[in-house]
Amino acid sequence: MSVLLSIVTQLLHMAAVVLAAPVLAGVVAVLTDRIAGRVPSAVTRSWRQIAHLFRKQTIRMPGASPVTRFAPLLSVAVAAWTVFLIPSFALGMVSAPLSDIVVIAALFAFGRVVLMLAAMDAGTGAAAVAATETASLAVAAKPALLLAVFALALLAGGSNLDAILAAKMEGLLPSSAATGLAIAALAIVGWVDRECPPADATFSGADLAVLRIAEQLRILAWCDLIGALALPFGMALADAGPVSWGIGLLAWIGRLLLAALVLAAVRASGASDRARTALTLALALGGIAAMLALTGGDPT
Amino acid sequence: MSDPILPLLVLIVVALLALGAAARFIARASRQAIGLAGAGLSGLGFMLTLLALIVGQEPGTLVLPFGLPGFSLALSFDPLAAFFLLPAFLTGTASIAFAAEIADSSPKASLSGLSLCIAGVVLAILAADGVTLVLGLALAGGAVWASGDPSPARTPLLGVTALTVLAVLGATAASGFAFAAMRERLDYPTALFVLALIGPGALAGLVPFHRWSIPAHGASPARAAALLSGTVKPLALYLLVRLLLDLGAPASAGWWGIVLLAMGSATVVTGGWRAASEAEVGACLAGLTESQSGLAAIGIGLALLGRASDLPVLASLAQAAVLLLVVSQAVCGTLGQLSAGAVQAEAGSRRLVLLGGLIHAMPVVATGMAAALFGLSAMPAGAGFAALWLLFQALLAAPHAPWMALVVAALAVSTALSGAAAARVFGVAFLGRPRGPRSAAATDIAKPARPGMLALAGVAVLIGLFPGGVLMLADPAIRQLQGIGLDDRIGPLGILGYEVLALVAGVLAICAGVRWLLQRRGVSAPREGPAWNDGFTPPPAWLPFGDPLTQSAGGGFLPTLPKLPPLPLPRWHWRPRHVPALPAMLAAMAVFLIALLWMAGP
Repeated sequence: MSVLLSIVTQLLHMAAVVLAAPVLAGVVAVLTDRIAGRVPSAVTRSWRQIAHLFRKQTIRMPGASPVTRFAPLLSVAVAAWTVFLIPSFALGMVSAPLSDIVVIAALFAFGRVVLMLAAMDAGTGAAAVAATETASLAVAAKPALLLAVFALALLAGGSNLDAILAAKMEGLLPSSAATGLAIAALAIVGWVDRECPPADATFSGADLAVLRIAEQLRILAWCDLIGALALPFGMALADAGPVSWGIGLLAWIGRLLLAALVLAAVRASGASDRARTALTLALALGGIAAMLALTGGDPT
Repeated sequence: MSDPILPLLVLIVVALLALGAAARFIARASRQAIGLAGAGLSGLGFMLTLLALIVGQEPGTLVLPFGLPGFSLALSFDPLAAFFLLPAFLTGTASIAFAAEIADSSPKASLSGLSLCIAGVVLAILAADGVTLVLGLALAGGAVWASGDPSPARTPLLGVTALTVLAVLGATAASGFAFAAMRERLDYPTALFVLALIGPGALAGLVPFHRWSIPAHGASPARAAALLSGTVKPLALYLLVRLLLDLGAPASAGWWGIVLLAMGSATVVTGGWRAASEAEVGACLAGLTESQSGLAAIGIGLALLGRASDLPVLASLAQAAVLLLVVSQAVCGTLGQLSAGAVQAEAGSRRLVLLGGLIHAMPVVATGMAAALFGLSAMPAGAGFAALWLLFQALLAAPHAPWMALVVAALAVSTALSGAAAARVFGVAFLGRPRGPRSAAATDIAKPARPGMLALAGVAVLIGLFPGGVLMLADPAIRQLQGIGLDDRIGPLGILGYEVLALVAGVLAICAGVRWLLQRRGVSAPREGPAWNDGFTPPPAWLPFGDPLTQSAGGGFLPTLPKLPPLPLPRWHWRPRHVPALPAMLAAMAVFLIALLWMAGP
């Protein structure tokens, strides 16, 4: 029975995130416009843009290699797999044993590498600049990410995300200071990752549409991860039944709205050209979190 | 029942030695015949060792009927040696096969050198006493040196290592050179540790003894570079494991692990940095293998820490990571350097700024290079990532100390750097547009060598897909040194917590699903045409390769650092390039024998 329930929650979760990704993107765009004092666009705009792109013919540069052909597919698959692994409204899904936080961090990085390769395949200057920029930002972002992940895994006694969230929900993570710093570091890395321009300038038509979907799934994955770690309240257990699932879904939507608000506020403030400064801060936060976790954190 | 395997392996070593000698002196033998014989022997050795590991061969010892006065050479086949024999034989097969297929100025000398070198490496791994170990190392080093490569200059490092190891064993074991006696009693364990870091540590490319490594790769032809990356560095890691985790373990101190962690952390960062900034393909790959050596050093350090603080789970996890790294370094290092050699031969250069777009002209080499880079960098589902994941688990299980955060940071920086380096090498050299006439007119590697390269690429991918299977082969070795194995943490399909097959299957299933949806929705077929990319225009007819400035030349992948004064590290200026090989080898052997007699004397 519990296996069946965990399969059902997994399917529900997958459907929910696939639906939520474009909505989240639309809500962030609307909120950004509102905060910046512009006339807001419709929530469905990003959706319609993607549908429009699907109707257009794809143009590929002459001499594009299989890398260009498969990069959009691989990007969307990696992003979807990442978001499937991160619990949204329930713990204990079928994917729980697979949702290792180190693997998730590596999948985020791998998605960027795929785009870097596709950009270099275009053989144009602008795309290559975007690729190198991604690579050089990663040199600071990756340590911040892994230090934060290490701190969380150390406190929870393992790197399984499901177990970390369960420990956090039951208040078993010993050092709240280290946890807070680690989550802050994760949030900064996630934000820089979102702001870093995807090197998709050489794609068009259906390829570009698929890449846009991948980008939306990626943002949702970051919001899910950080939201679940920071505020895991209301999250249901897979075998707890539909009522708890409903509460979990509501809590998840609340977390996503909060994340959208924060993202929109940061975007509207025009802070995106300070990525490097932010990453230095994230690195410091992650380092302190890891050290706190290693020394035992709280004085108690 | 250990009887058949050791004599068979000895026969293979003897046959390789004979082949090495014959290749040099028999004028009639053709290059292909020698290569076939050498690769066949090496492949046979691989099969035998694999079979022995699978059926769970009991450890055995063989005392050879000759040696020094009052001392017979001894060989032993234990799980650790058996596991390290696998990559040695595998890379040996690949190197010999490629040297036989790729036309070359002095093919027979190189084949002879390769056969002798593999024989030496196998002898060193099988050795059950210090003298046999040193003989094997000297043979391997001398063979590379004498093989007629234009730049053998830095390979005497093997000789230096041999002498250091000898000094270690002589200085520390009053009870004799036999490993069994050394495990019982070590007189000066600190000397063993320091000398092990200087000799094998330098050979593995650990900071601060790493300066020889990248120039040596750059100056060597492909087959010698492949040997350095894929055979010599794993051999150095074998020496470190054997000396520190096996022979020195009973007498080891807790600070040994900390020193290795520091050296390993420095190595992963410098190696990765060099890999992401060097100008030549081969040098970038050398940086990546150096980075893997650093990861292995971190693993050995963690295993020592685990032993010192009585945490066997930590020790076995860390050793598992080391053994996985050795296999991936051997296979991917060899494959990468052979691919780099093919690029040099067919596209005329190893410099990134002169290459470009090779994936169209050299699909087989591009596949090989992609597999090698995927394994060497820490990308999920690659062999390197499985090892990194194990190291991360070991770090979680390690005793808590605030400086551990630095090791984690170094590990993390190295993953970012190796990812950037892999994307840079592949992106600049193989993707985009050709940057010159030679790279535009390049052809793929010679036909007979193609299946070999694809097979090696397949092995590299399989190691990444089945890390649990590799670790099942390594489990007896882990059990031998750490007392406990990984037990239910590993299975043939994956590692508990890192189910790589599920990951790959899931991602591929989503890919297929999206593709199916796109086709079903009737998305129109793509058309070729110039894409709008910030005003980019196709190159004009009078500038067929375009303005070089319109493509990345491989710079800018790393953040700019504040300029620091150079560290006052000692530089090794000794370049014995003009030393005649044979007299120097004879002199070294004489010194070695005198030292041996002097040490064994009282």
